[in-house]
Amino acid sequence: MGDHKGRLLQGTLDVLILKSLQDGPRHGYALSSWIRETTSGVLQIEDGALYTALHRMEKRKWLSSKWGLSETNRRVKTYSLTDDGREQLHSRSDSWNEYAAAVAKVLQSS
Amino acid sequence: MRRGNRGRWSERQSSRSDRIRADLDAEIGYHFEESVEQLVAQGLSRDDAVKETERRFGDVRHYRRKLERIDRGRVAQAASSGWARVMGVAQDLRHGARVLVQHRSFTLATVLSLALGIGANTAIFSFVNSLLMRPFNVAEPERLVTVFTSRIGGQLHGNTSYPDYLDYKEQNEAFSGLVAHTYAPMAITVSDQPAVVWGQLVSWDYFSVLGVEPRLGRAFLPQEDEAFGAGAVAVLSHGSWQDRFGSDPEIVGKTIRINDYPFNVIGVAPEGFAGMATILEPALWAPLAMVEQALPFTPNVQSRVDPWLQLVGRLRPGVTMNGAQASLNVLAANLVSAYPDLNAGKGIVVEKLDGGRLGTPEATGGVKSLFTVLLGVVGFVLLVACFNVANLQLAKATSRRREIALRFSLGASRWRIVRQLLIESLLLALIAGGVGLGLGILAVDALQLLQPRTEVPLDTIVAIDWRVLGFTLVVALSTGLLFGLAPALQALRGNQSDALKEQSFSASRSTGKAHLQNSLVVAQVALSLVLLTGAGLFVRSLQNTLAIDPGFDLRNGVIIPVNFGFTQYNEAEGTELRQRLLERVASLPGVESAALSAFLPLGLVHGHHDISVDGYEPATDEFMLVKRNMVSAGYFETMGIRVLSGRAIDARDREGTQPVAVVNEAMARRFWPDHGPIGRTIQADLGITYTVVGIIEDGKYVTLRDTPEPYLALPLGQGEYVNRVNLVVETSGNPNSMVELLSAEVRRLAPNVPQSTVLTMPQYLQYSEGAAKGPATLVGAFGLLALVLATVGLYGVMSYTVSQRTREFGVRMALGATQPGIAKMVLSHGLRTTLIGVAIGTVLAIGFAQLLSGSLYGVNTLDPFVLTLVSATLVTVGQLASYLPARRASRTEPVEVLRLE
Repeated sequence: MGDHKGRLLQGTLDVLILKSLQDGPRHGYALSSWIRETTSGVLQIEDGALYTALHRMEKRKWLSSKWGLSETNRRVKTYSLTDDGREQLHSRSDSWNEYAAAVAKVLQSS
Repeated sequence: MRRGNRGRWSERQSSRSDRIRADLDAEIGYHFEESVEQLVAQGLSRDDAVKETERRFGDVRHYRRKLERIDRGRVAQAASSGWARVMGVAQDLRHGARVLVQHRSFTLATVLSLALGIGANTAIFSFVNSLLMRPFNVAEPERLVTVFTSRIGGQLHGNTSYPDYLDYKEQNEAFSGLVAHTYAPMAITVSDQPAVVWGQLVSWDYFSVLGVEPRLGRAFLPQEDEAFGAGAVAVLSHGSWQDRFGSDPEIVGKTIRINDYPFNVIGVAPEGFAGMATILEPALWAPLAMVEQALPFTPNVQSRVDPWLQLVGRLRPGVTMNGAQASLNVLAANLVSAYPDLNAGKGIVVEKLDGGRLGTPEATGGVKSLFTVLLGVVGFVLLVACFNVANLQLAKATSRRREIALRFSLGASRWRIVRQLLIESLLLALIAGGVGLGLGILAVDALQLLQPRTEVPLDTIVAIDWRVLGFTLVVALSTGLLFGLAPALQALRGNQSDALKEQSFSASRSTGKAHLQNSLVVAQVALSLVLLTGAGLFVRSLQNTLAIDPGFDLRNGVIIPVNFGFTQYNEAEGTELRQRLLERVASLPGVESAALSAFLPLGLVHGHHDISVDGYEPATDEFMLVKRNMVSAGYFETMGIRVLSGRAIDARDREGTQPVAVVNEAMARRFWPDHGPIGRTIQADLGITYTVVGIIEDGKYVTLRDTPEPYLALPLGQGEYVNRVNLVVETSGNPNSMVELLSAEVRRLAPNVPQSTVLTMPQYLQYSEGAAKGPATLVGAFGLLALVLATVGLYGVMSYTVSQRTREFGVRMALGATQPGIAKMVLSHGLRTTLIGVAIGTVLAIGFAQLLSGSLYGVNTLDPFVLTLVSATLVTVGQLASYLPARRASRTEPVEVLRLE
């Protein structure tokens, strides 16, 4: 179930993550909350899928990560955009905009 | 990372997995804690908050496994990023190798062209390296100089007599040491069978002045060089210690026989020390004082006019060569006043050590300039080969341009593509270098076979050492870089998206490229013309040299050197044996006539003597040294030397009869210009008075290109004993078939005399003709090689042009052009290209010929015959190369072309 949905939304999720990191580095939980808030819970993304996307993009060098310490003295992993990631964001958001527009058109016509 | 051993690797692997798991635990753990805290803060119970967090996360075990897999991949990627670069190069190499295999015929043509060029360079450089560059392996060679005795009217760089050497050594202020040495063939007996080798007699301080430490034992002591015959000791060369004595560590103290005389081995020279001449590697050294026992000819050690020693001096600290020359000039002047009769006209000349490599600075300089020419020639050959490769690369450029554009669009970086192209051409160059090295070694072997045979082999060792390997590598890599970098840069400069779209060649680009290809062929034709002109001039020079009348005529001759100096036979034994040999050989079937002679014209050794002529008053500095030979009866007849007046030396002229002499025309002209020499007397040996009884024609004595010089022949047996003679045999048939028989006969009659190499007259003449034949053969071969390469280049370009213009030809034919018309068009294109090359080449060739003038004999460097012949050859070959493409062009079917559209 999650796999099917995950594949469908893969591009969308990547763009969302890249976009959210545009304003600065965040850790996984903060990203999860941000996506939940901005999409008002419309997009049902499992946090596991979110982490999978983060780790995959880190492997592709779109993201870099850093280990720090939280106020409660726990190890926290924060992610930030690399130059490659920023480039990806530009090209990806274009294609996503087109996709979104296409979806909107289909919905209007029905 | 892959190079560690297995244990370490798996250990590292497991610790890496632990690390990944710990990181995931921390990351997911933090996520759960934060989420639960937040949900609790929003009012959920802790249990509900945990459940909601789990629901939002999804299947934790599934995602953990997924994340672990991704992270393992990421970590492995990061760890290998350094190695990745190496792997990238390996990948490029594999890709390059694939490309070379794919374009098999291109690769073959390139490798063959370059390998021929590189091989030629390797071969010539091997000779340069061995003859002119081999280090002497002595201490501070820059402080060493060669010292010669000059003589007005004689040689500028002559040998030195023994008494003069002792005076130079004791009275000079320039040197901290002055050593004397001479080379000679010696018979060395290790077990039973004597072998003839080159040995060197040296003054006792030879090794210490040169700064050479024996590897085993010691060098000579002063007392071993004091009294003649006292110090029968020898130092072996490293090579002969290894080869003849099996590197015997106990060799010092053992006895060997040199010329059948016992010598005590006192030491072994270090590896890499081979004396001061690079064409002879002595097998052993013995003290000068053993001259009587160790030399097969005995110089007059008391005489100031018998020069037989070569000298090497070590400059005192602070003394320059000029300083040394100045102080030696004073010394020479002192000796002239001390011995006005004997030293008049003599001087002392200091030269750089390097000048003595091949005997005299003149000889060394001659070989140097010849090899400079040869290196230039093989450089040209390589250049012609390189132009072929450049042409091939250009022809291949279309497919490459598209491939490169594709790789660009797939995200390859510029550097990556340049690297790929460079790796490809370096790979090509290295393969060509390897093949070229092989060809070079084969060529060196072949060239060594061309080396003239002499009675004692010269054994010039042409080694393929690290310098040759380095030279080949540098030549290969630089050609590879040159013709790999240019297309690589060109590929990068072009508009990549255009290249990708491009389906066929656009007309404008094709024209530009065709222009470049034509220019390369023009250059090839020009260079070939230069080389062929050089070859033509050398061949003319060879013809002229071979046309020289040497003053004798013995086509069916066999020469058997008989050297009693290799034995300790006394005068009576030697005289008796040589007479027996002569009589026996003369009576053999197939032998027309036979004679004995101390020296032979155009040989390696020559006799000369300081004479006095009754009734002739020499000028103050007049040099009375003339060439002198001692011969048996029948010598002139056997040799085919014409007696112009009077009589030859015959059976009457024995020990005890009236001493007689025969002189040549030059000698007669010089000393008896008015009334002729017959009946006149001279003192030509041990104060004996000889009466001149005949005049013989002038001949060539040292080289074919000599000008006539005075020469005198005395009967063997009437003067000083000669222990080294040549048995000259005129056979009635093929001399080759007689060599074995004659050698066997001599071995039978004189079993104790170590045999030198028996030579037929043509073999013997190789030595004197070699100076003319060698360059003619080499430059001729290289010229032909360049011609072949240029022909291939021209053919390739013409074929390519024709294939590119198929459409144009089709259209022309559709518009009414005839088949011969099209063929003529292609042929005239080829002709135009060739003619431009010929014009440029002729200008270059005239310049090149000037450089050769020193090595040519009797040739006009602007020889119109050679220039015309070479130009005509190139034009003909050029037309032949264009013929097939022209025929193909004329068969173009207009319909086919339309179908191609």
